[in-house]
Amino acid sequence: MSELLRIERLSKNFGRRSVLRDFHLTIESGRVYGLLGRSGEGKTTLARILMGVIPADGGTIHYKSRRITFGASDYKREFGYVPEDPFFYDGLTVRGLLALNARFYPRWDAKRAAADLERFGLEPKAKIATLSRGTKLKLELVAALAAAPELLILDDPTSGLDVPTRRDFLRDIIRELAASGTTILFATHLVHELERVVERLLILHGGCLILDEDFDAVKGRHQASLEDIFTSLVSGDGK
Amino acid sequence: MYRALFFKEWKDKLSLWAFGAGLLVFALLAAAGWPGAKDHRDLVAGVILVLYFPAMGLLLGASAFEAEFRNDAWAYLLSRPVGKGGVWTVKYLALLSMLAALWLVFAGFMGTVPGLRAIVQGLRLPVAFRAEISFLPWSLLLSLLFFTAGFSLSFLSRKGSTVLFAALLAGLALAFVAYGEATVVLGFLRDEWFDEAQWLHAFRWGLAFMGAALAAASILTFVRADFSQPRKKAAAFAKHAVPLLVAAVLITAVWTALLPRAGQMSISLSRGAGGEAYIDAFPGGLYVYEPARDKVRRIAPSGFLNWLTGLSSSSFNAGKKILFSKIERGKSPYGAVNLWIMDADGSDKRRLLGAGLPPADPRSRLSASSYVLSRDTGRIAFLDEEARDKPVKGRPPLWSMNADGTGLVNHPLDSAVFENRKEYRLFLLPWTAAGDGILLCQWSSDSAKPSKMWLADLKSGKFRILLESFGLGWAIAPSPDGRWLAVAMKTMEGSVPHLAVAIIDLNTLEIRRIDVPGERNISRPRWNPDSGRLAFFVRRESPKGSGAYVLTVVSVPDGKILSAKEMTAVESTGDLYGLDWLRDGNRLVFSDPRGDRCLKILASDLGEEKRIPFPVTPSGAQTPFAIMTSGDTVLAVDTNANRLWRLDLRTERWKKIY
Repeated sequence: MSELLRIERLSKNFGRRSVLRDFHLTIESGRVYGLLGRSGEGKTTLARILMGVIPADGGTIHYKSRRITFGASDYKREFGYVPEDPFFYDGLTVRGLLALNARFYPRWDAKRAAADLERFGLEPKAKIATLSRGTKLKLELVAALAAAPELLILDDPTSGLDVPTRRDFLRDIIRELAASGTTILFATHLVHELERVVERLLILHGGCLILDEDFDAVKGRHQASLEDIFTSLVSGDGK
Repeated sequence: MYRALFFKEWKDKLSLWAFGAGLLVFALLAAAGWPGAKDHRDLVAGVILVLYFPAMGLLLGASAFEAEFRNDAWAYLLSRPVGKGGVWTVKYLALLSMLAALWLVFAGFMGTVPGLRAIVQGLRLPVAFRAEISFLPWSLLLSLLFFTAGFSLSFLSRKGSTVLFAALLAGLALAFVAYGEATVVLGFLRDEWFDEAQWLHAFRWGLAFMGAALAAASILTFVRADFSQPRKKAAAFAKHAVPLLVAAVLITAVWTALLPRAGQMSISLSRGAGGEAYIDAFPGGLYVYEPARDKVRRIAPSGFLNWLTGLSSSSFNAGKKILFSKIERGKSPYGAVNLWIMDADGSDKRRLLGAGLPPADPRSRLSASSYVLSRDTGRIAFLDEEARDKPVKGRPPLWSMNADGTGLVNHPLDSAVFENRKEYRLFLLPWTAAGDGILLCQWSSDSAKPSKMWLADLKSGKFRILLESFGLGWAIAPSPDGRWLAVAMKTMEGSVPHLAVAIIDLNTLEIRRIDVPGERNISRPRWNPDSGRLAFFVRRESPKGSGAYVLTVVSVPDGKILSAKEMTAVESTGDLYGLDWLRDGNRLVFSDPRGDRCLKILASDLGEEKRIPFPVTPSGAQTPFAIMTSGDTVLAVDTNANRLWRLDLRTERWKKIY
């Protein structure tokens, strides 16, 4: 497996509060990364920095050995992003949004988009403003998956999904993507969600990674549930 | 993808655009349907230009990023694989195209509603002789400025009202700074307080530079700033805007400081006594038009052909000599007007006055404020620049000398010529035909103080008043054959004004008066080639208040009016410089830069015979398309662009020749 993404010495402050500091991470292609962290630890900040929504205060990011800067945009054609809170132009319809997205992504898979709309029961003519939060999240998923990304960043997306969709998402979609070689960075604070899909576990605490290890190895060493491992690590008694 | 974003903007703001377009259409339809109420149409057109378009520019610009503030669509937009600079630009262009579409609606009405175009073109605010604010281009500029201000600030706050208010303040502040800067640079640094045309020019460019600086600050902020932190975003905008606006202020100052001084860039046309066309271009020099080559040829690198009086033909004699002046270093910081003479082909240039002569030569200490060459080119008369209003060190201002610089004579002046010298200026008019006398104009800029024409008999040294109560210096024209001098006159009988043209025979000095119906003034006298007819404009009182121009042709031998034609209101709004005779001596060519925007060939009865479109669209306040005929061609000056065009009357084709 080759290195896909390398983050070095990344830092980000909001006012006086330091959210990320001296953050390092290397992501290899074709794997499923689970990023665990308590609320407010910087998972969303990291995702937004990677997607170029906000700038980092320091550090470097390389994607496929090419440095990506805040103003760069080409690399995002290979990135998919599903945020915790869906953000859309709510004046558009479902179909309108997908048509707009199709213009951005050269590998846009319209058939897949149509199939996923059906799979999630989304009405193409529906106005986005009228959709519930969960339905919007499904639409985020449809849009992200149809872009056929090499790296899919999932920022705690499942909290707004209904149980059947969440199960479908975790059991089928992520496995399906992983099987097709898509690299996934799944950030969440819902520990039990990760257990089913994660290959490599990342734990974010105090602005930097305190754990970056294959999940099987972690589990084998601790002989405990992921929830217990996470709790012990972030409370400082699990080293 | 940029196309998709472009059309998304149209879709997003369509309701705002439709509201604006509806308002515009309603106002225009209401104005068009208002029976017989031209004043109301003027008012509606004025309100649309002064208020509506800048306001719509502001509204459209300020709404630019309103959709992104809803539902955190910022994150959606910025996380797409599209450059932020591209997003900004596409949004700007999309909304600008919406503003342009409103202008197109307006232009459509201008093209279809009878009279609206003329009303819009007539909406002007004169601020000086050569400067006026034309509502249409200023409305375009202001709508663009407020649009840019609104757009540039629109991503700083989610509150639309805050953005609107801030953009309005920013637009007004930029206008205030540009206004102040134009005033300071032109007034204090260049001491050109009264050059309103330059001032408007500087003001306009100041607005453009500052608008561009605001837009540049906006795009830099958009590309670089952290949109998740409003304070950081605002600080980033300020960080970019301050140096860029300072740079814009400095660029405007340098731009303004480097603008050519008033009158520095000019082209004027003069006809030699043999009909040859001379071009007096600054900077550039003196040129002659050569019909055989269909080109202009420079005959002197710099100089003026008696520009102080406008009597350029008095400086020529066909195929012989040209008397001209050059502004050179002198005692005054503005330089001295020194005299030169050359052969008509540009050869044998010789200095007649100025510091370039040997110090012992008294001519080296003289400069000229007015100068004239005798008909036989043997003698030159000039008024000393330093003593133009009064004798200096007991030295009266009138001098004469031979054309080769010898025989310098300082002529005593009758003290009456200096009467009320603060109220009058002196100018030289042509020599008498015999070459023993010269006509002198004692001219007042105050219309209540009538000008006087003196005859200076250089042999006897006696002066006598030849004519009183005649018009301005610009309404004096020597005939091509050198026999006549036409002078516009305005006399009062009690409170009743009377207009007339005085024809002075330069051989006998007899004066014939041709009375002309009219009350205000006579301007632009033009002789036909055989010196038998004179055409001019008479300004009459009009019930509309602004006066009506009547083109009048008189027969000089008979002293009768041959034809007269009242110009339309739009034709009259031009400065009416563009008038000359065709070679046949019966027909006239007239330039109409503001009405039909073309040259008009007028038959001998002044009926319109033909229209020939201008090669470029005239614009601006300065007189466009001053014209002069030369054989089968018409030379036309595009004063705004400082270009000279030639029209071949046989083929009706234009060619730029300078």
